Amino acid sequence: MDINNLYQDEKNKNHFTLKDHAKILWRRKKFFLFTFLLVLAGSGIMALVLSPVYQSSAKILVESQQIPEDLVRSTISGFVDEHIQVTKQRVLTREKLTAIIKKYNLYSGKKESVTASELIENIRADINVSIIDVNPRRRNDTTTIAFIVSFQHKNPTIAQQVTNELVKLFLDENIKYRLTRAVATTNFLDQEARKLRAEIEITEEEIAEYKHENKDNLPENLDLYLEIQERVQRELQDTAREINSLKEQKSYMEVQLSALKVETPNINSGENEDTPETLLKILQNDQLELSMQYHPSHPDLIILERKIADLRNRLDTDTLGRMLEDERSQIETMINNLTSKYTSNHPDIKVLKNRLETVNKRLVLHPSDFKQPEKLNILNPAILEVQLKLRSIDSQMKSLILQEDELKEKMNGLEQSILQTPLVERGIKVLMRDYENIKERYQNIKAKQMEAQLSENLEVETKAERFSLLESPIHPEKPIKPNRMKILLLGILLAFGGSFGTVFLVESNDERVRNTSLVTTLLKQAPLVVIPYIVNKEDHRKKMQKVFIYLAAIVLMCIAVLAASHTFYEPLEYLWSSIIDRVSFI
Amino acid sequence: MERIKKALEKAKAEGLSLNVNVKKDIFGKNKNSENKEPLENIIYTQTRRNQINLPELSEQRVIAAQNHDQRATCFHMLRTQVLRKMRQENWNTLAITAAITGTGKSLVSANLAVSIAHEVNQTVLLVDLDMRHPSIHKYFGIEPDEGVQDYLNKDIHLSTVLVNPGIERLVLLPGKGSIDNSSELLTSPKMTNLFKEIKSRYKSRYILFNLPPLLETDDAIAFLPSVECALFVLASGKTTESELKNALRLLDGTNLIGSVFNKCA
Repeated sequence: MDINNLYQDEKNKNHFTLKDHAKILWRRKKFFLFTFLLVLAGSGIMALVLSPVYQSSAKILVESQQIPEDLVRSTISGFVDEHIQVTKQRVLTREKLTAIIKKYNLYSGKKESVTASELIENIRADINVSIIDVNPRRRNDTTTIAFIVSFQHKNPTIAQQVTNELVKLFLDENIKYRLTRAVATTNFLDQEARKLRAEIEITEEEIAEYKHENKDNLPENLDLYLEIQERVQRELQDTAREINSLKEQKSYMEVQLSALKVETPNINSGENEDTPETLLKILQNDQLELSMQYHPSHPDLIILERKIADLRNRLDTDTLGRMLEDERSQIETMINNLTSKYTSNHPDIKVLKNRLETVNKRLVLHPSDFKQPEKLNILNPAILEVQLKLRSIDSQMKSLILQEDELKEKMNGLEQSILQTPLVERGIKVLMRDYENIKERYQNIKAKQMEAQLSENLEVETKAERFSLLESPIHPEKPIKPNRMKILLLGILLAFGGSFGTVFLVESNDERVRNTSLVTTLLKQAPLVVIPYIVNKEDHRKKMQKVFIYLAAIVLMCIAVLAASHTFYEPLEYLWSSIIDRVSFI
Repeated sequence: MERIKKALEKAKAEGLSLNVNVKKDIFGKNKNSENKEPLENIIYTQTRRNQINLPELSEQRVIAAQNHDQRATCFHMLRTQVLRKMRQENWNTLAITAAITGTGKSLVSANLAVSIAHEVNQTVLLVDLDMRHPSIHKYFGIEPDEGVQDYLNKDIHLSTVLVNPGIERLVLLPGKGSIDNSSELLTSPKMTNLFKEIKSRYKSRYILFNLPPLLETDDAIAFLPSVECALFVLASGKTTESELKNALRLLDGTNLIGSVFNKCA
């Protein structure tokens, strides 16, 4: 039927009107009420029963350094936040917290069953350090200028006292921490300075030693040496000039002497046909022969030697030189002859070689220009005068020549020194470089040490950044926890939620048909009639009865609860007054 | 009066030789005799008669008889719709059943019967076939001496079981006690005969059978094929969806006039 189809469509939509919801709620009123009341009661009890927790807090200001940073810098670097955190960690150590717990007997109710670490956890949870940041308009980052230290406890007095303790700890620890660091810095720098000082001393010693070792070649003496060298040069030149002049004089004198000699015949010349030269030659030959026969210590040989020496003294140097050379060549020829016959080990050859050696020595020692002084001719005064003059010139020349030699030696020495000087200079430079280096570092450290010392003084005087108590902890009047209002409201919300939830659960569990939709669908036709619940007097009476019973039950329950709390918990008067207190926040 | 007397005499004459379920109608009249008397003034001679007590009926929730009770209207509406269909199809037997107990089926049957009887066009016979928990008599404040079970089990006269609850044009065939082999009884030949008898006795009489719940026993299913049409009662907050579906499945094949949504809050 069309009309039935209409019904069908309508009912099939199966939308829940508000009326349906209301019906459901009414149907499940027991569940709803029960859950609601239960949760509400629970939260109500919680709101009342929870013991209050008081919080006492103190504000600590972080003052920045009083003396401008450009003048004295503090050794403690880092941001204020960091300092606060560090101080906090230093304060909230197990040691200190355990001491506080003992002193004020906190958590006395729980101490036996709870471990020490849990107590520490508890107190750490009750302590709060919050930083007050300020956002200056110019920059984007925030600056910390103060922080708040607070402590929670159920006893307001204790809360205040403990907060006081904490504040003291904070202030103390901060100072300690800063001072320790400043002192550590100064000490460290002291040590470094000392080390460097030792190094400097070592290097100084090295330099002194080096200078001592090369004292002759010191570069500072170079100028002096050059001066001296110049002087010596001049002296040399002077001496050479003098010698030359003397030489000239001598040759003039000699010319004079020879002239004089020519004029006066030599009286002494007829003394011996045999000139000393030929005599020497004969004696030398004899000596040679004898040495081949006899040992050198043979008395004949010795006498011969004396005679030869004597003769030599008489002869002039040139002749002597000539004679020596002749002798040498003679010996050499003889050696040659003998070696062709005998081996070099032959005693004759040995003797000859010895003589050769002596002759050579004599030749070497015999400077050719060192003239043997001529024998004085006493008879001729003119010759004598010239001879005497010659002799003085000779001796002058001797000394001058000695002087010259000395000067030449000196010159050599000086030259050596001057040559060595650059090397020494370089060596000294190297050492000085190191020295300068170390000195510089030392200066550096010294400067830093000074700064550190200043900073330390700054800390000692607490003129650097410091914590200062801005607001001391007050005795809290009102508890911060629990927020009874919140608990109650939350409870109400929960109660609603819970009861609605329960109702929903129960309702969705129920399969029963409550409207005509299903039957209409199944029969393709709506019910012929919908009959309401027919009530009779009996029903009415029963209902009244039920209401009465419920009310009675509620009243009885309240009485029972009050009685119970009166006996077991708190006498009603006190309960009432505490409730008034707690409710007064409204 | 005359006719009745004659009928009575005839019955007495014929009564003892035959079985109960064959010849007589419940009123003790001959089968084939037509009753032309207006039904407004039926006087029950064979059936017991109770005094009507409307307040008590109301207390039992049978309110269809109340003229001034608003609640009676829905029963009247039910009655009208049901009768329309039955007249249309020329049916006069109606079974009232439900899925489960507690749906108020018996009450609906009672009220419906009363409502039908309230109309002057027909009479109603309400048969309580709930063998295990018969409750119709309670609604009418009657304590029957014998019930349908007794009639089917023993050899008694039907007139001893029938009762008029004090409402015009309404007769009750109540149940009494509780038996276990209800479905067997309901399908016994005696029952079939009874059924045939009461159905055909009066043309203008509607017979309402109050059957036990479909899902409780198989009585209803067993009996339903005999009945021409049925009415299904379900109650808000009582019948579950699955019960409803099962019940309606069982009703497949029956001429279901419609459903009644009871206890709607």
